[in-house]
Amino acid sequence: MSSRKRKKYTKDIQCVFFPDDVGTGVQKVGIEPSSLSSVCSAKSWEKCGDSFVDTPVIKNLKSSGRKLSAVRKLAQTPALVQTSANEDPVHIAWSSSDSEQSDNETQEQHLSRSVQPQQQRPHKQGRPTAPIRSYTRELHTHSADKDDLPIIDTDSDLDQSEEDVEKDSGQQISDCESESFDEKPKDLNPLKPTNATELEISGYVSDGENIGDTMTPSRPDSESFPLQTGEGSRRSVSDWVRSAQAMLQTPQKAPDQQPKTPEDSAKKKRKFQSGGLAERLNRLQCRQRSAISFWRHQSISDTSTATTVDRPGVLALEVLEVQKECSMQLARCEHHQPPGDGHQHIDPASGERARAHVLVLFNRDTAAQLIPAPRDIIHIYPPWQSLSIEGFSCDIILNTHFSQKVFSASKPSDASSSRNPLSAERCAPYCLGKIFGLLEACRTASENDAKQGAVPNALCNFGGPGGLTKHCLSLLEAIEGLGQAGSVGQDVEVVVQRVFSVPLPDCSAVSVLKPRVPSRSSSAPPPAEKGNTRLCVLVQDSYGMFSVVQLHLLPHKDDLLQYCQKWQGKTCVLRDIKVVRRVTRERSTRLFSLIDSLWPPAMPLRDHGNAQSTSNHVGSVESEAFRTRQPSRQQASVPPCRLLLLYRCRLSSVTMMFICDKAPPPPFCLHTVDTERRGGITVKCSCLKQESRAAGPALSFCYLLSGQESSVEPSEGQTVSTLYVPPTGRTLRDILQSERKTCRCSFVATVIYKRMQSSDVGQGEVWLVLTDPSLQEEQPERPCRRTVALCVSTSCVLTSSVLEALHSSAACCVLFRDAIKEHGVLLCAEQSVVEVQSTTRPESLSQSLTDPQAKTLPQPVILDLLSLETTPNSLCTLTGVIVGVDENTAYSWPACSHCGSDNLEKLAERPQNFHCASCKSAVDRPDTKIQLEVFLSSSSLNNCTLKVKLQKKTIMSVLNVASLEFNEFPGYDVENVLGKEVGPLAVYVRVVTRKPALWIGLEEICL
Amino acid sequence: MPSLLPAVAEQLFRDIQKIYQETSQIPDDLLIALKFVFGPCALQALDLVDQHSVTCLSSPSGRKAFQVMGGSGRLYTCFLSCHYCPCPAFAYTVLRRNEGLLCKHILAAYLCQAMGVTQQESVSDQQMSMLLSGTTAP
Repeated sequence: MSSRKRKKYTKDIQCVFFPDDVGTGVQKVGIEPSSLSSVCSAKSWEKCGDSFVDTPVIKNLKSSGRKLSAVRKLAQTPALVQTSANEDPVHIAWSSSDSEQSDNETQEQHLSRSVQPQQQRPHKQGRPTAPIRSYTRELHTHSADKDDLPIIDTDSDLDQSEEDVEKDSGQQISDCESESFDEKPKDLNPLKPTNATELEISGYVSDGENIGDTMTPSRPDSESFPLQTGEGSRRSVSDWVRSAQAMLQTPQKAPDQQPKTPEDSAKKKRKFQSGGLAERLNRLQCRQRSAISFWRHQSISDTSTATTVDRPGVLALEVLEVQKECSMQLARCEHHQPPGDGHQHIDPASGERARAHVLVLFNRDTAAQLIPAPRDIIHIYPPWQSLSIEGFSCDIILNTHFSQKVFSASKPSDASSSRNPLSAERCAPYCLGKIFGLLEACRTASENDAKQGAVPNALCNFGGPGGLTKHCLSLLEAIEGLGQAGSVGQDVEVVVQRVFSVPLPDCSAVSVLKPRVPSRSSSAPPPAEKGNTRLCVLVQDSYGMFSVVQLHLLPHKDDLLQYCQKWQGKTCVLRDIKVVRRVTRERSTRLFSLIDSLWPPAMPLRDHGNAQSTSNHVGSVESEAFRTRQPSRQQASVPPCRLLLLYRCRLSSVTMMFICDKAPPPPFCLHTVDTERRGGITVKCSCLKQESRAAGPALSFCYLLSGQESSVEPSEGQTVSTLYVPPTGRTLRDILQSERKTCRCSFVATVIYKRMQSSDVGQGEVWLVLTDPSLQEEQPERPCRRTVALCVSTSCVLTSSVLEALHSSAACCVLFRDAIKEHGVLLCAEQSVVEVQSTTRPESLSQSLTDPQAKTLPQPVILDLLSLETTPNSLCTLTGVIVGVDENTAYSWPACSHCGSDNLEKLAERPQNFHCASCKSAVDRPDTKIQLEVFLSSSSLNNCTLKVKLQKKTIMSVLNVASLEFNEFPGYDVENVLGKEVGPLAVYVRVVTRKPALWIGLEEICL
Repeated sequence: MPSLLPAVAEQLFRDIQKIYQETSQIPDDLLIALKFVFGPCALQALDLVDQHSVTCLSSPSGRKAFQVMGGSGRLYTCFLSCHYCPCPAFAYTVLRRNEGLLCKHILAAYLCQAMGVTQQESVSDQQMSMLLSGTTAP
């Protein structure tokens, strides 16, 4: 089933099934008992995993649904051997009654099945190895049944039984105290676990009547294990694993394992009701689980965290007393004052005692890790919860998953006694007859009402999602602490780095929304009204984290500029936002190219302190795979080390190792960098004992949020935030010569030519040819293109003023903010903003952008000569000789003299005159349009076909025609045209085909 | 030290009741606390709550009992006067191993009570006595 289960089983296996491991494992128990599992189990798991892959035996068992009875009987055989008159009702085989279905019948059976586990012990006592061996054998003969039985029996209520099984197998190692080992010799102490397990096993065994019926597929396997002696068990590991695995394999369930993090048995849970409480808890639990395992991993690998006590939210407690209650451990603790702290140590005998005390509950898993014992010092990191109960003088600390023992009172020598997490005194079972208040309320409905009114909110959180303050500085914390339905309950203070709008792809819903659009929009040019746009902001919190917030639909595209002025660069408070999704760098490179352009930040970022880091564990683990150390002030003057990256690996986080240039000769000074985090990395350099904060790459992810207009509210004081990185205007020359392949850039440029796919600007892609003084000026040292093409994609919203400017024939000066340079091509797409730069509106997006435009462009603008490197959609000049005429394209036609449309209708009464269907006017003297495409040969380009669509003016000069009379085109003689030199022509490069031969399609333009 | 868990559980139920009355919601922190105190049981019990599996049976004589529909569709009769459930988990986890306070069915009954989402059903005195005495399949 789940891999988790399998792992758990291996852990059980490891002290048993692998001869090698058994030896070492047990030895370990003697010496260092608490480390019973980790190394060994990993090892055996490896082995186990290996052999799972290649054993064919599984299959035989897989389909053995029918073999239940046989399996059960197998289980029963040993019991038969062991059964004696001395029956202990405590050891009724409850586990097989787990199935709710088969409940009745199995229970009946149980009453008759009982085991006398102590029976088998005497003949083991003599040899310390014997218990292992026999445990092994027991497992071989029984264990499969033991763990499998409930599952086999179960056909419906899996969860219940699995849970119980888990509890049981969990007990195999930890429950070694189990009730009745008093008569056991002391020297067997290290082996307790095995005996205990054995007891468990026999607890499942039932006295079946039928021995002869034990032929199951697993039987031969178990027989193939002659485990009479410890030596006999030295078989090849693969054999072991194979047979063990064959036995363990059950039709439905993979082997069980010790949960790595507490109680993740719910993982296997089927679907919960959508939107239900269970679903929500399951989600919370998943987060918590990963946070806990990560935290444990971290706290094991980094012992230094133990020293950091004086952080907010960390409870430093000294354990006074421990007791076991149900599966949990309850520790009575007092707040620990570090010795020599100057604080008055609270006298345990004084009256203050009760106030300083807290009761701490540890769940079984935490307790097993922690092994709390009196006089231990334990740190509990947030998030934890504190519950105050009526009638209790001290608070109860719950949710203590992030606990760490920093001082152990027990010496290593008595580790064997403290190793056992159950060494704590067990509290007597609570009285079942004393029910909790609520059921009573059912009986006497009104009784409780008065009482309830007085109940304060007893549960408070520290550091957890529920305990967050309303106002938050970290987007991550707010997002990770989000409540239901993905809504962020907190206000987050952010800096609005950019304001932009995105077009809505399709507006079927727009018709519904339209009525709300204010009527003033009707005055705008039609194209602006096509499609709706949504206002978006790119925000950054003071820790450096970015998020895009999608806001409301803009009633009018031009409103964008208002919001730019209102919000951009300001510190704002985000509220009532929802998380749409997480966005990764891989998936949206363009957004991250914008984020990269804002990086590194304008000022040092905050670090999430460790305390906050811990709280962030509840949530995305990745986000808190970081730990930083605040650079201290006096070290700031020391020049930072130059660190050379040696390697970088990514596990749960990015780990980098550096070598420092100031390192003395070998031994080298190696730096294991904490981890990469947003805002760069902090490197603790051990050679100079200094910390330098490198501006690392920006985060690899951000969040897409959604909100309403009211979600962004500028905070008081309308000054521009210091964290704001305004778009810095660059010259086109600078941009083109920049090495970076992909980047964002802002600039002001003159649009000298535009080419639209459709007649309506803003509907399709628009190609603009731009230039600016930097490209036009003399370029002696590093020649650069004179013009540059820019594509405005449909994902970039153009305001009406821009559309207007682009529709007009005059060259216009336009500001491009956050345009994308991608593979040498400029592009305006998502998050880019285009704004007309006009003298009448000095308040532009950024004043700094206007500077490059101080110089004026030469008239006419200089274009590049057509060359081999010329790219499509660019402009260049061309001089050449006509070498051919494309006669198919040579024609002329009349056009309306008013509107230029060729949609003319001949008037029936006056054949000479036309009626223009477009502008509905009579056309007396229609213009004659003429088209001619010629092939040129240019001295600058050899072996290249140049086809140029000429303009009328040039055609007429070529044809030596002064003017075209009416719509009479005189015709031409190809011979006369050939050999004529044309140019210099300003041409637009439509197509460049390089294969099979260079072929360039050009179009003469008029600038 | 006296036994603490029952008091903790009781306080949590009270909190849930109070907050649910005010907001019709159980906040995340309470869910997490439930999970911490009751372990995996909490999730299953919440699932039962989501499914509206808890019914309070009452008879004309005034006797009451809870009936919880288990995941398998089986009905478990739980008493109001003491903690008892016929399910195997109760027998094993609570009674035998003393590892849990409640089974998921009783926990679900408490949660439903706290949230006021217990279904109500009337049965005859005879049915009730048969239920309570366990002489009949419910």
